[in-house]
Amino acid sequence: MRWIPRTLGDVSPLAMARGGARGRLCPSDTSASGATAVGLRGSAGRPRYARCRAPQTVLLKNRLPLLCCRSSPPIMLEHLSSLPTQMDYKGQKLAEQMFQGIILFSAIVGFIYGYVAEQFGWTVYIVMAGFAFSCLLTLPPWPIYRRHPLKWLPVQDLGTEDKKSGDRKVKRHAKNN
Amino acid sequence: MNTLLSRANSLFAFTLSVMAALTLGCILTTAFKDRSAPVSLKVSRVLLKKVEDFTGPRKRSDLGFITFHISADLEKTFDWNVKQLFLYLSAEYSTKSNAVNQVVLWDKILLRGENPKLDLKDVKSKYFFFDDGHGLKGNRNVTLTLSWQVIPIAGILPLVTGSGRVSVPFPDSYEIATAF
Repeated sequence: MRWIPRTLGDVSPLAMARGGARGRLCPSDTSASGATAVGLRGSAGRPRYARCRAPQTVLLKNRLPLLCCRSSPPIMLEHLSSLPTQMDYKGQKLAEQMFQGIILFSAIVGFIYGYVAEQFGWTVYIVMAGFAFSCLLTLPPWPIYRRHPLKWLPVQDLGTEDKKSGDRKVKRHAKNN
Repeated sequence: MNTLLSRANSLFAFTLSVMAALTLGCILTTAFKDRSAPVSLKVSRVLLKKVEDFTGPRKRSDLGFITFHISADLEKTFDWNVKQLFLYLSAEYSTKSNAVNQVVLWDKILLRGENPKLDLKDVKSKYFFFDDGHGLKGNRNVTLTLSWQVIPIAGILPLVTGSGRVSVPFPDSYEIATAF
């Protein structure tokens, strides 16, 4: 069974240094897992491998099973949604021109090759290859598509904000009446 | 074009439109092509029997057995827009009850890539040559022709008749085979 750190506190630099020799980290070696360290001292005579095993079950009983893998599904989704998929406007135009150009070029090449080789199947394969290539080139937001970012207006100062909230209060009263 | 999915959508739709235009181009390059070819047919043996007709009303009708040779060179009909050729040999004759009778005796599917030069000897008819009555007995003129239907990858399916045809007279009596 592969050992995975249960919480961030399990892996400390001290444990990494000691565990390096064996090639495996043991929660028993860390100073952070205070609750488990007490129970371990009694089992000093047992071999290293068994000592690694026991504290994991103790760990599960003492601590809540917070994470079952390195980054659990909710955290992974957060990471995925925070990945940038936006292109700026000039980048979008560039991407559209690029994929149209690539697919048209592969269509012309495919048509000529299929006509010469007397097989329409080759035309289809070449167009599909052009489609895959343009997918790779234009779907992910590469940095070339983000060279002209939008210039947003600066944040407004407090004076105008107070005035706006006052207006809103007045309007609310009017609605209730 | 702002989200990944909308970009993927427009890319895919553009690819499909381009594919449709290419298919139209493929149709146009072969739409007006002449697909006939010379065919040489020979009949080697004719036999006539009187058998109960199971395909229609249960009365005894004429049943013919023909053995023939076919040779044709169909290489020019194959091009990049042809998937296969459906060949069939049909017999045409006229009787007292019907002006035109056409019966398919034999067929073959020729895929692109198979040998297009046909040279078949002593081929027996695949399908029953039943007549609607006794019109085959003593019929002077039964004409055999080889035709084919071109099945393209895209476009119209033309039906072409080969240029060679052979006429064969049927015997006057039953159960006696005539050889040619």
